Amino acid sequence: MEQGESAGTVNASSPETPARGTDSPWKLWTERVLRWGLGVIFVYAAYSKILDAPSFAEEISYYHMLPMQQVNWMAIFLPWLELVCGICLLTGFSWRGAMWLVIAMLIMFTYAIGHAVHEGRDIRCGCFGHGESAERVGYVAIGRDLVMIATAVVALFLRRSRN
Amino acid sequence: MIRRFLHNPLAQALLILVVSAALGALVNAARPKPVPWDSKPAFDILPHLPLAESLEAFDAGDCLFIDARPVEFFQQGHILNAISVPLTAPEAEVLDAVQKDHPYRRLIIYCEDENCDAADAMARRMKRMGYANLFVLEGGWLAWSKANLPAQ
Repeated sequence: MEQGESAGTVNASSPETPARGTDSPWKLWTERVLRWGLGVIFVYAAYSKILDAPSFAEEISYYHMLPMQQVNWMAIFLPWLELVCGICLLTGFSWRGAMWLVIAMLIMFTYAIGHAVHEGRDIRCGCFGHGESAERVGYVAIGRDLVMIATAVVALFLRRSRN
Repeated sequence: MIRRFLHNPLAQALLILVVSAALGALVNAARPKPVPWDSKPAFDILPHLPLAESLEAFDAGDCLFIDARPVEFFQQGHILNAISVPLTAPEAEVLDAVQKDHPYRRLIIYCEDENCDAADAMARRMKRMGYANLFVLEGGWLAWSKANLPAQ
């Protein structure tokens, strides 16, 4: 059983009115499904960036938002942060902390893509995978990030118990 | 006490940050070609050719202009005698469009303007494929056409 789901998530005596601090099964499973979904997405997003960090650095540099040194630091750390957060969301270990970090990352990504779109840049997004035909920045990427932020917030606040 | 500490989402986030940073640094150190910690780029930056120099090369007739934009953009207007090799073109198409033993002194690649990455990405791609003397036209098609330089 995952961390944080061990104790009394359903009130057996009165299933329709869960006791204070417990969650109904649908909330538990909705939170799990949303969390697993985000976990899979983040592990998938991290995979190609870890394999080819220089290409990821190149993609970050096209945003023209950071000096080269910070571009390099991002290329070194960000994919691992995505991977560790993804694994935490999948396993349930420290998932609340991971979810807050995922929200912070998604806000940062949305801002960066929005900034690039606002400046009229026609660049690769650097979101999932590299290569010449990789996804480009645009409203689709912004919309997807906003949906993921909403998903993360729902998953985080769906369950009342803070175990 | 550690269990209690780890129940705090802030502490969890801090732990994740530390673990990720450590993994990132360790794996980077183990890479055959690590990403530099300083301001050296982790990837090749190919030379950009200013408009005036590109025009000189154009007049000398010893360079080939390569349009890395999608074909529709090329059809709407391009540098005179340029060829269309979109960034998304398969490798065979690139090899077919530009021979490796081409007679040109320079291959000058361009995209729409200074806000596109296609020319830089194409130049890097062609370098990986074994081409040499690659340059990127500064300002791209927009700078060229605004200056009323030869186009078709």
